[in-house]
Amino acid sequence: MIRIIATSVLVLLSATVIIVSFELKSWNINMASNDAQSFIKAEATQLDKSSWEKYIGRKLNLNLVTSNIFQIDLMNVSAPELPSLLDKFEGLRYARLHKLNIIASQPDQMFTVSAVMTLN
Amino acid sequence: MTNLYRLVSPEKLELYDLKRNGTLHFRKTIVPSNFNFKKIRLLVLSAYFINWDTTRIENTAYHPSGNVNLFASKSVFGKHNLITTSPFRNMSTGFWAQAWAPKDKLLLVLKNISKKAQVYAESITISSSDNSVFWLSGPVILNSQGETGFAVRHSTKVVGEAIVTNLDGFEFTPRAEFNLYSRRKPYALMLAGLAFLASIAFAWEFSVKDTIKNIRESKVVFNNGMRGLRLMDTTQGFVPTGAAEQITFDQRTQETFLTFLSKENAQKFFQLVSNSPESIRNWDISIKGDTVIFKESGDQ
Repeated sequence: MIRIIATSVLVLLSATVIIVSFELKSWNINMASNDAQSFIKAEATQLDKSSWEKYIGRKLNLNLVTSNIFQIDLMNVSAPELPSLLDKFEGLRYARLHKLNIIASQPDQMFTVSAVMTLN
Repeated sequence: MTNLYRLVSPEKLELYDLKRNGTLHFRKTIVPSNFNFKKIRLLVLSAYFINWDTTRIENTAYHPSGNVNLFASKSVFGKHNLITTSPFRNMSTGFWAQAWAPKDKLLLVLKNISKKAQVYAESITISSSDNSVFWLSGPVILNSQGETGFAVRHSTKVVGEAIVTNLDGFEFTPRAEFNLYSRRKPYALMLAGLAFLASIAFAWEFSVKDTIKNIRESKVVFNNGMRGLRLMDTTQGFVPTGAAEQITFDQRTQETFLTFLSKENAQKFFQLVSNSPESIRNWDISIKGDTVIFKESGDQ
């Protein structure tokens, strides 16, 4: 009788552990998807150009200065785009913004924005 | 001292004190029908209930498994209706002994016995210091035989000497317990235990490890607010259209650099912002060539 009860309890516990682990995974994924900057937290994606493009919302160049310092260059930014881009850089939480450079090109009224950032 | 019970027959149960040196001291006789067998922890069965045999096996490397029946060919009972002890080897004589009993007969008598009880065969476990002493084990007369190291049967005709009826003064050595209950290995329980361990390992790798890592190593959150940007909002009215070329926000030095296309424009802008202390009083303003530099004074 004790064996039957113990076996049943173990089977139930196993099922519970597996269900909880799936729930935990789902919770983690939800947390990450709600945070647009979660890619910066993961080593695998923190220097991924496409992830940064998705966050910034436009094409960019990403150059690694050292293993920890990187630079993002945005070319041909129009004046109406500029405020939202600056908001994106100001809103960075998991990367430190060290220098932001806005260079105006008078002939075509466009801007080049470059940002130097560090991780951790 | 331990209580040792000896079931002589269905009508006779004897109680002994088992001393530390293995010697038995007779205490009393009990009627089995009035006795609660659940109390028994150590029981010796007389020859009334069991049969046994001995054999010499020369191969000293021979080690039979506990449930093998060495004397299956000598038993009239089928394997399914037989309870056996495990084979026991007397190291000094080299003889093997094993006892067996019909299951239906034995379990009928021992139906209430505790599963913790140890049940032994008298012929294998009881011995006397003097091999010439005969005792009555149920309907059978026994004495210890030096050659085998176990008890041997005798008929009344052969035995001319006195036969004792109880085991007072005899020695008990726990050898070869009866396997009353088949102890199946708890495969289902073991499997469930393995499944539980596997589920824990799976959960750890699948999600728990990452969750704990995220909680323990929570990322440092930076404040990248640019005060210089607020400053530019305030001062952009002083910048003539098309006069500025570059703005640089240096977050490390808390400086903002506004570079103009010409030194004149820079000088004009510098004078304008220097004369409006209310809105930018917290900034130190300087000019270097075509660049006006705003530095936080630290009073903020």
